[in-house]
Order: sequence, then C-alpha cells, then structure tokens
Amino acid sequence: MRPLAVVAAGTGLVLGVTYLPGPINLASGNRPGPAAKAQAELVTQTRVICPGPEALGINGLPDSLAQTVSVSAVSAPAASLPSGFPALPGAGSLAISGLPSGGEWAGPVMVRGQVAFGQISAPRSALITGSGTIAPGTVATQRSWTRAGNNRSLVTAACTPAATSLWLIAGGAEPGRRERLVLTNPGPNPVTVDISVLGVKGPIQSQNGRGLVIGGYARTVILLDAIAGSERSPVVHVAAQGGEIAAVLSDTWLDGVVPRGGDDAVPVAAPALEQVIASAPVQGRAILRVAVTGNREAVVQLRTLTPRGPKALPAGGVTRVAGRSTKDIDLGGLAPGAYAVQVRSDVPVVAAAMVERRRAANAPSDLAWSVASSPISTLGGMALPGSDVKGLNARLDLAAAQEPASVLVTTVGAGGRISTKEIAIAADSVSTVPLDAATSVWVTPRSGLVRAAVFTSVNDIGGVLLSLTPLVDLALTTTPWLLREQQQGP
Amino acid sequence: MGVAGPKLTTWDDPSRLLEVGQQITRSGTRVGGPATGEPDQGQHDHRSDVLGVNTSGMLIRNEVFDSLGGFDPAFGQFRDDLDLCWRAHLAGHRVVVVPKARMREAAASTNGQRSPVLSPAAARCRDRRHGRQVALARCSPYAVPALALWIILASLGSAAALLIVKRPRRAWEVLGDIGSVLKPWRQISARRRLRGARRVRRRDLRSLFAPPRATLHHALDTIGEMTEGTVAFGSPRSTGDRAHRAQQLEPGSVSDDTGASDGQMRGSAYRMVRHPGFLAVMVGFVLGAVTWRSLLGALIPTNGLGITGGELLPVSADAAGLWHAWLDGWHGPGLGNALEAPAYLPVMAAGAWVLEHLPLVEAPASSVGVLIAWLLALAIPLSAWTAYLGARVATRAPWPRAWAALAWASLETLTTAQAGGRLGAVVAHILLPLVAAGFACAARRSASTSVTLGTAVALGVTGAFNPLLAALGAVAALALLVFGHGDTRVRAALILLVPIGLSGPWILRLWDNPLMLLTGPGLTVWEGAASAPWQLALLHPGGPGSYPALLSAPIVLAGVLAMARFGGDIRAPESRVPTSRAPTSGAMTALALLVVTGLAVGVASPHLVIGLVPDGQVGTGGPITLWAGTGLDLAALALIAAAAVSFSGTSPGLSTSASGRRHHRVAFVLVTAINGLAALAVVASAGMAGWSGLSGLSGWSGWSGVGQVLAARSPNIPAVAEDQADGPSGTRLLVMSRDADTIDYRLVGREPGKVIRDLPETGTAPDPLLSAAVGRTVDQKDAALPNAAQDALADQGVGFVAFRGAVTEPLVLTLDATAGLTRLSSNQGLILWRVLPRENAVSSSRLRLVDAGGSLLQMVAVTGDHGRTDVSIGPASSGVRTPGRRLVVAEPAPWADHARVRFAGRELAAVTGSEQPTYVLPSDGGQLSVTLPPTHQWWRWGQLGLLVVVLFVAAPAGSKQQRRTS
Repeated sequence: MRPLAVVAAGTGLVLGVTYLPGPINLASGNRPGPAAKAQAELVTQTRVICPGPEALGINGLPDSLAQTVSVSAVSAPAASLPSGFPALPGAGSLAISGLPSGGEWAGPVMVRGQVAFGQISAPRSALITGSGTIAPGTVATQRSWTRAGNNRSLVTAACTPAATSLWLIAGGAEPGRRERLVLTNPGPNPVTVDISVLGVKGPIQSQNGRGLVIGGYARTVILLDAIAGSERSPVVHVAAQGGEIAAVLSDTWLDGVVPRGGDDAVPVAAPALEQVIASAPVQGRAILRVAVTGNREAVVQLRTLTPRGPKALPAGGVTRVAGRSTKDIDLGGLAPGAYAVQVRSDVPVVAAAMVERRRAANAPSDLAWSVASSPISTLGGMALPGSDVKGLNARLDLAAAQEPASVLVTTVGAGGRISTKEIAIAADSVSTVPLDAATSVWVTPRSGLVRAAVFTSVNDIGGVLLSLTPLVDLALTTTPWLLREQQQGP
Repeated sequence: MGVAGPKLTTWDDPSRLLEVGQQITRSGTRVGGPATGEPDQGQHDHRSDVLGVNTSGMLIRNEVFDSLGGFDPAFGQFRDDLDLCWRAHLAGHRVVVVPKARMREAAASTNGQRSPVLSPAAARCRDRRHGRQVALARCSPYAVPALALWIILASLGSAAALLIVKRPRRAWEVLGDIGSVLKPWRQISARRRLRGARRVRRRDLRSLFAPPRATLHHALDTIGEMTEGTVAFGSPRSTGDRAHRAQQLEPGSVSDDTGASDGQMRGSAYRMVRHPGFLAVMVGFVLGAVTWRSLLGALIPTNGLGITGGELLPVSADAAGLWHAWLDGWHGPGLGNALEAPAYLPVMAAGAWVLEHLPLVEAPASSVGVLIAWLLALAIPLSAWTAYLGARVATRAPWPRAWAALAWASLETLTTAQAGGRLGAVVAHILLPLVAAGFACAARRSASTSVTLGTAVALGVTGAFNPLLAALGAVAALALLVFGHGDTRVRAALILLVPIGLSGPWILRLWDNPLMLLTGPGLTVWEGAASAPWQLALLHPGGPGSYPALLSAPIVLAGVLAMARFGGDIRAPESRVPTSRAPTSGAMTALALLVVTGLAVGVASPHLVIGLVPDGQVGTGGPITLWAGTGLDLAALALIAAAAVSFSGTSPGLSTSASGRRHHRVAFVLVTAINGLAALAVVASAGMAGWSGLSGLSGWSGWSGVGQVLAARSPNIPAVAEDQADGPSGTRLLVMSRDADTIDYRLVGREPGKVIRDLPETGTAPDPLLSAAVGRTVDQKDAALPNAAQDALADQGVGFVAFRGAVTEPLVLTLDATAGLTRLSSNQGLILWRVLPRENAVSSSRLRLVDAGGSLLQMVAVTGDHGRTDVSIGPASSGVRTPGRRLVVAEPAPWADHARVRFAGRELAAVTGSEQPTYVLPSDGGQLSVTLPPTHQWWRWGQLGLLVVVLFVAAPAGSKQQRRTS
C-alpha cells in the first residue's frame, strides 16, 4: 500500500503543479515602485572655447609678432528658442575668461541677446561660460581682421565645445603656407593628445604629435609642418585621452611677399556617409578636400546645391579616394555664385572646401575654409560683428539636402532689435539671407534638415577678404543620469 | 643502606602490584611505577635503588631515622615517606626496594577507608600536591622559581588537555597542584629542618628521577588511553572487538565496521583498498575530478582567488573579514548596515581560517574563494563519505551502503548545485545524511548525548546554509518531541533547541522577512526555466550540470518499491547479512512521508515567487523562485535510505514462515532487479562526466562538467585600489556602470561583499550623502564649485572611481574632465580614476581629523573594516587655525549607534546632527580605538558559549563509551 500511496501522492503533485494557473507570489509586499524615467532638463552650463591669437604661443618658438583677436559671445534671444521651450526662471550669466587664466575681461552679461565682448593679445584662449538660465543657446565667435601687411586676412572662427575626437581640414604644401594647430584643454586634468595627419598618399608617418600632454586649463599651438611639412592636402585628426580638448587649425599663406590670406578651420562634422558644406561662395579658385577616415577605399559622389537645385560638377562628380587618404577636387570651374557642396560616399568621409578671392594674378588674396557641418536640429547661432565694425558684410547661407526645409531666422540688431523671418529652402538647394548689421543670427529649424554657415567678407583696396563659419547645432537640454545603488555586482 | 622497602601488592589480590619503590619526575609527579592492579609477573623485580619507598613495610635504621629527625610534619600523611627517603639520600644513605619482600597493602587512605572525611579523590589530590611540595622543598633553592612556574604551567596545560578529553574531575585534581606553590612556608620550614644534614650533592641523585623521555611517554600514553576509540574511517582492530563495538557505535561518532573480515587480507592497506566505503569515496573523487576538470587550477591556493559564476559572486574575502562581517554591529559591503548577518558566515570564516593556517601552504589572497572552490570540488566524494556513514542506520552491510553513497553523490541535485555554485545546497547535501542518521538514532533508545548534540550541530550548520532544511528538521524534532517517549523527548528537545540557540540573533530577521526561512546562499533561481514537473519527480532540478532525467528513474523505483517490504510484521534477517536493528513499519512510513514532503517542496519551489530581480541585474523585475533541489534532496534521501534497507534486508530463506519466504523471494527478485538497475544508473550517471569530457558530446548529455557556468575568478578590482583599501587609509572604490539612462554604482572597500547570491535585501534606502556625491560626480552641474565632486567623494573615503564600460561612453568624458579625478588606467573594460585627496592629505581615508572649521588636519589610519582602528594620536598642534579638532568617520550616520569610540581611555559620544559620525577629540594625545561591538553582545556571547559546550559534548573524543572501553 505504501508505494501506491507514494506514487499516488507524487502523481498528484506533478499533475497539480502542471495545471497550476500561475506562480504563487509570496513577495507581494516587496514589489518595487515603477521605474523612474530620466527627464530632459535645460542645460545649466555651457562652455565653448575660442582659440585666441593663433600666431602666439607656438610650442618652442618665441612670439615674433603681435596679434589681437576679438571675441563676441551671446546667448540666444527668447524669440529664437524653439517652440515649447519652457520659461526660464532664475538668473544666469554669460562670462568670458582666459585659458590659461588671466586677461582683462568685461563683466558678465545677464541678458539674452546681449553681446559680451573681449579682446585677447596674449597667448591665451578664451573660455565662454554660460550658466544658469542663460546657458541654453550660448555661442561665441572669434574674429581678427588684418587689413594690410603679410598677414592681411579676415579670420572668423566659431568657438566650439571641447571633444575627444576632432577632424580638422585646412592647409597645403605651397611655399609660405603655414598651419598652426591651436589646442586648448578647458578641464582641470592633463589631457594626452595624439595628432595624426592624413595625406594624399595615406597617413603621414611621424612620431611628432604623439602623446602630447596638455596640462589642465592650458593651451598650446603646434606647427603642422613639424608633422606633415610637405603634405599638399593635409587632414588632421586630434584624439584626446583623459579629457576633452578644443582645437582649431589656422591656415595662413604668404606667397613670397604676396599675402595670400588665411582662415581658421574649426572641426568638421564627424565622419559620415554624407557631408554637406553649407556655404561655398565660389568665385575663382576653389577646392573641395575629402578624406576617408577608414581603411576602405571610398567611391565619392559630389554635387553642388544651388538656389535653383542640385547641379553636377563639371567633371562628372564621381571620384575614388583611397582608404586613410585625402583628395582635393577642383571646384574652380564653377560659375561664380552661392553654392553648397554635397558629398556622398560608401564609407565615412570628412570634407571641407576652400574658396579664394583674388582680384588679379600677383595681387594679394584671401582664402576661407568652409567645413562640412551637421544639420541644425534645435538651434544654431552665431555672434556677428554688428555695425561696430565698419565695412564687414555678413550673409547667412542655408542649405537643405534631400528634402525641402523651413527655418526661422532671427537676427538681433543694434540696440537689441530682434527681427525674425521664416525662410523656406527647396530640396537640394541653397538660400541666402543678408545679415546687415546684426549682432547675432539664429536659425531655428521648423522642418527638414538644414545646415547653415555665415559668409563674412570685406571689400578693401587690396581686394576681397572673406571668411566662412558654420553654425553648429546647439544642445539646449541635457538628460541627467538616474542613479541606482547596487547591492552586488561583478 | 639507610632505608629498605618491600614490593607492595593489593590487599585483595596479592598477584597484582601496587608499588615497587617510588619514582617521580623532577617536579614531583609519580611516573614509571606499575599501574595499580598490574599483574605481577616479576617485570619490576630488577629494581633496587629508588628515590623512595612507601611507609608501609619500610625498614629504616634507627640512627638514620634519628639523624634525619623522623618524618617532616610539613607533609602530613601523604608523601612524608618520599620526603624522608629523599632526605636520606641527601644525607648519604641508600634507599632500596627489595622485591623479594612482598607485602599486601590496603591503601586505606587513598581508598577512603581510613577517614570518612577524606574522600578518595581528595586523598589523590593531596597526594599529588604533597608530591609537588616535596619536590619544591628538596630541590636546589635556585631551581625553586623555575620549578614553581613549571608546576603552574603544567597543571594548567594538563587540566586543559583533560577537559578536552572530557575528564573534568581529573582536570580539577590536576589544577589542585597549583596549591603546592601557594604555600611556600611549608617548603621553607622543611628546608630549614634539613639544614646542615646534606652530605650528597643534589645532582648525584639525577639517576633516581624519571628521565624526561619517560615523562613524555607517560603523558602521551595517558592521552592515548583517554582518546582511545576515537575512530577513523575504516580502521577496525579485530573481529571480536569490532563485533563488540559495532553494537555501541553510531553514526557521527563512529568507526566503520567492514566487510573485510575473512582473515585473508594481507595488511591494512589491502583491506582498505577492498573496503566498499573507501571504494565509493574513491569513485566520488574520480567523479569530482572529472566534473571539475576545467577548474582544477582554481583549487591551487597560491592562485588565491577561487571561482565565480552562477550563484558565486566575484568577491575577495578572508577569514577575518568574513568573521567581522558576521560579528560586528556594523558590517557588510559598501557603506555597511546593521542587519543581522547570515549564520553561514562564521562557518565559512572558520573553514577559511583553517585554510589560511595550513602548514607549508601560502595563505591564498581570497581564502574564502578557495574554500568555496574546494567545497564544491570535493562535494561528490564528501557526499559519498557522509552517505556511507549515514547509511549505517539503514543497514550495516557495506556494499549496499557503498551503493547508497554513490547514488547520493551522483544525484542531479548535487551535480547541478555544484555546477551552478549553489553552496548552500552543496553543504546541505553533504551534511544531510548525517543529520538524517542522527534523527534516526535519536528516535531510537540508543542515541548517546554525543550523537544527539552532534546531530543538533549538524542540523544547525545545515540550517545556516539552508534554513528551509533546518525548519523541516525542527518540525521533525517537534514531532519526535510530541510522539516520542522518555529520553527520546529529551533528545528531540535538544535537536530542536540547540540549532535555534546556535542561530543566535539572526532568528530576529525572520520576524521582518519570514521568506528568509525558505532560502539561503545560492538557493534562489533568478533566471532560467525550471525542469518540467515529471523531471522534478525524477529528482532532476535542472540547470547547469544536468544529465538525462530518466537515468534516475531506477533509483526512484527502487526506493518506492522498497517501501512495500516492511509493510507487515516481517522482521529483518538477523544473521548472514549483518543488518542493523530492524527497520519498523513506522520507519518506512516516515520515509514515505519524507518522500512526499520533499517532492511537494521540490515541485512547488519553482512556483513560489519569493522576490523580484532588482534593477540593473539580468532579468530585472523577473520573479525569484526557490531552487527545487532542496525538496528533491529530501525525497532522494528517503528513497535511497529505503532502497538501502531493502538491498541489505533481502535474503531469501530467512523468514520464519513459508508464505513469508515466498513473499521474500518475490520481493528479493523484484528489488534486486530494480537495485541492479539503480546501480547501473549510478554507474551510468557517474560515467557521464568522463564520457562528455572525453568525447565532447556535451550537447547530448548536457553534463559537461562545472565549466559551463563557473569560471576561475580573475581580479575584478584593480590592484592599486585593492592595496589602498587594505592599507591604513582604507579607501573605497566607487564602481559605476551605465544601463540605458541610469548609472549603477556601488562602493567596494576592504569589507568583503556578498559571497553568494541570496534573496536581495529590500527596503534599504540609498545613503543620501553617497548618492549626492555620485550625483555631483556624474552630473557636473555646479560650476561655482569646481571641486565639489572631489570633496564629496573624499568625504566618503572614496580613493578611486572606476567605470565599467567602453572608453567612448559619455560618462568617461565627464569623469575625465572632473576636477580631482585623474585617470590611471583603462584595462579590460574597466577605466580607473584616482580621486585626488583633499588639501594636503596623502589620500582619501576612512578616518580623518579636522579642525572646527572642517579643514583637514590629518588622516587617521584604520586597522579593520568600517573604520575599526587602534592607533595613537598625538596632541593637537598649537598652529591649527581653529581649536577643537574632530574625528570624522567616512561612514553613514547610523554607524555611530553601533560604534564605540574611545580616546585616551575615555569613551566619546558622537556630535549630534552631523552628517557623518563626528567626535570631538581633546587636544591632548592618546590612544584612539574604534570598535564595532555586536548589536546583541550578550546574545552573541551566549551563542558562542553554546557552540563551545555543544561541540565539546558532541566531540567523539572522551565519550562515555570510550571511558568504558578504556
């Protein structure tokens, strides 16, 4: 009987649990609350870095000339902020300080749209810090205008936040061409930087620029000739370890005794299959430089976007670029006009264009680098010279690739006068907006993917001086981390 | 010739010796003479010159007696003869024993016949003490201090040894020797009376004393006699003796009888090799080695880190750390807590301590890890061994016991527990046969106190690792208490109460969370589906280390069918096969009940949700269920026990009636067939490991050794952080990782973390200060305070920050850019930063001295976990900015309720309202001690005291039976 009873009980138990409707929860009291979700918050601190005088503070060389640059910083006016942007209670400020510390600076600006202005004549970068309610939408621009002499040029550079990987495109191998890489560490800790240069025939093998240590809150300027002196088409990659770094590549050219101008190239958009250079005002010599960052060869398709739609390049617009190599494509055959250049590739590439203005052969000239930029998703902006700098003209170039786009362009004029204008851009075309004497311009996208750049020029006795600066997408919000304490872990 | 004495024999039997002269050690202890009652075969007749002779029958020259002044009154009735003879020697006279002269001696004093006041024990005690006094009085005066010290130490040592072998009365007698030192005036007066009478140098008497070697042999012989009968596995002496002892010995305290009784064995080694128990354990060893083949390297102590995977967490711990994790009032990983620690920690700590103190082996870096590796690796042979011992209550026949041992050791409940790192299940599996056998003995009339308490301790240890089994054991003990009778009830009460007492204050936690009773270390299932119910019924819980379920069907069948055999009044055979007492119908019913209970627990376990997987773990929010193996183990135990009984008890032709014989024959054929299958099943499952290991067909068998889940642990904490954590600064490491938009963080310090996965703690809120410090570190919000993160981390004693993830993670950039954090390395997915110390400190620290303004004065070294220390602090320097220095402890505020901080001999009270425990230190220097006494200090002492007493009584050495036999 006993075995039968055991078998019966066992069978009953097995059948019982087989048909049990569900688990029996003995821990009902221990159920945790709903998982917390991270909420986006307005940024309360933004920091962008302007390179300062590019010719000063070259590593290992005494400063041979004087240079002064001016820095304008501004925070986006409320009218330009995207719709649905929450009200901004409390106070905030926009301040400029030196990196390394020092210099004389005006007091901080507490009002949106009002420009904070500073000048630097020492080997020092400028750190623009927006904090509190002013922090979202902080931009700054560095500008230097040398009217005559060997360094005759107009240079503008958008001040950018620091990053760990930066691609910079500028420079050439012509005699008298000089590229200076300005590196600034805005953080408190030393950063190790590796600088590598891609060229037409592949990466430049050089140990110079490897393991460069930049101290906390320090700045250094490196001559690219030390790494790639004879490279006619250099593309520079800056990789930082142990912190973030801000970098600008300054390209100046003195052809014998003829000043050929110069410009600052800010970091280009990260390597991608599609790059768009929003502004390429071709009128004379112009080149497009493409670099393949990976090892695979790229098949690159190029076309220009014009106010009347896309237009193929004269040579057909398809070219091959070897892996880890660069290539210059001549855009000089284009009819003068406002262009954007679209680069599409089967592997990630980076791109930038150089345009030149020269009245006549043997005359002085100026060059400008226009880099590929990311589409503006929330807000893009730039501080402009305004009416205080006589003779300077500024123009906003907008480019929409693939689909039509619509943006709201807000300008802040002298005295804080704000004007807004809605601009529609057809698909694969560009649109230009004159900026007159505005002190800042803001682009708020409404629809489509739009990239923007500001074309600054001045026409003096020696000819046209020009500079091109992209509008970068500004992060207005940040999502703070949720924190969770773990009992155990690996 | 001055003194002569006869050979003394006992009063009752003149052929038995009492004394042939007196020989003592230098310190006055009798050695070397015949034992009382030793048969006289002339073995001591060679003696002539001795140190002394007994007063009884003593012949002494009159002038010698007069010149010595007679007996010294200082020594009274005892040992005055020794003193007289010693003095005679010193005066230049010979003292001889004349064995040809024989005399019967009643020894009335020591037998208690002379005086009703003086008991025999007191007389023995006085005799010993006077012997010591004589030695002190007659030795060189320069040797007196050393001799007195030796007497004290030897008395204490001997008393301790006697206590260990359970001779408390003898120990008390030996302790009485110290009294001889406490009355120096006796020796002084005796020495004064001897003045001027000495003619012989003391060292000329050297040959009359027992040599040191004889003294040592005497001591060893005494210990040997007292511990005689303490048994080793398979060490029978003689067949006759074995038969006698077999009736008395029981599991737990037992020797093993053996089947090798045919007298044809050639030596003990050969006998041992043929011993079924030995063979079963050896097969277990082979099986264990094969299943553990991929992790053999983890067993080498010098590798030192143990294993991880499955339920085993990668934690480094040593014995001291684990002990304090259990003992201290504030303990545990991270910032710690005051929750009562689980009871298995001290057991593990004890094992780890042994491992650390093994001779010739370097202490491993993580002795606990290596201990766990060894426990898991040896689980199969150890289970076979304990099952062989435990099966004795079912049958005395060795081969069925060996079968039961192998069946038990190759159950899937063990192989899966082993392969999944379920330590609680493994330890319970090893101990369960002994506990069950102890229960069976306690239910009978024969169990000794030693066995009963041994069972209680085994149940307590089992319960520490697997509380559910302890609870079921308590129910069984309660049933025995209610339904038993006489001594059985007392034994049941002991088995019920001792484990409860041993569990100590931990039992309070059951009040808060009764679910803790259901589970233990490694006894939960966090992810993965359980086996199908029919597989569970075949004793297969599933998981890593599984093998085909049908292989166990014969064992189940054999057990179930075996339960039929003793259904009537049939008795077990009494001869041929040496069986134990007849298992009754009641016992079989109890086994059947155990099968059903175990099966019910087993099949229900996967359906009982006892918690939810915490966030950040694999399977977040999923149910945590009970591991089915615990219940299945109970069912398997009962089935194997029933089968073992059946195996040995089936012997045709032994029944008393024809029908009974027929019944037996049928049963014999059936059960033997089933048992044959079961044996085959065991062999097949045992061979599975080797098969899969050799052929690589793990896909078919699913049992490819333990390497499926477990792996040798590699260092998971950077060495520099570990060094600083263990150093005087006791810094912590903040480990972070990212899960979507959440940063998981935890603090790793010198305190050992959770060793084995268990039910997660619920309701513990994160520490606000730590949370704020982490928040400041990961969200660089406060631009006005660039060092906010650094200071907040340093305040928590964090010396290093680590991020587990890719270097391209945004948080890595944030941390790189954080002031006060310097990146040190990036290795194997772990990026490490050093937190720069505040101000002029060398590093962050657990204890720091600050001035009244909060500025750091100096760091204070720690010597233990959670800020425990004992260091000297100098006086406050006069140059401090503000007076009133304070000790700040980088622990949470509730720590202060459990800590005792003393400075310069004075206990300090924590400053109320401080965020962290803060104590105002006087400006004078002094010794600072920070201790963390247990929360329930007296309870803890009681717990330890109970453990000592119970272990003492339960220890097989010096048991009542041994006292009888020796």
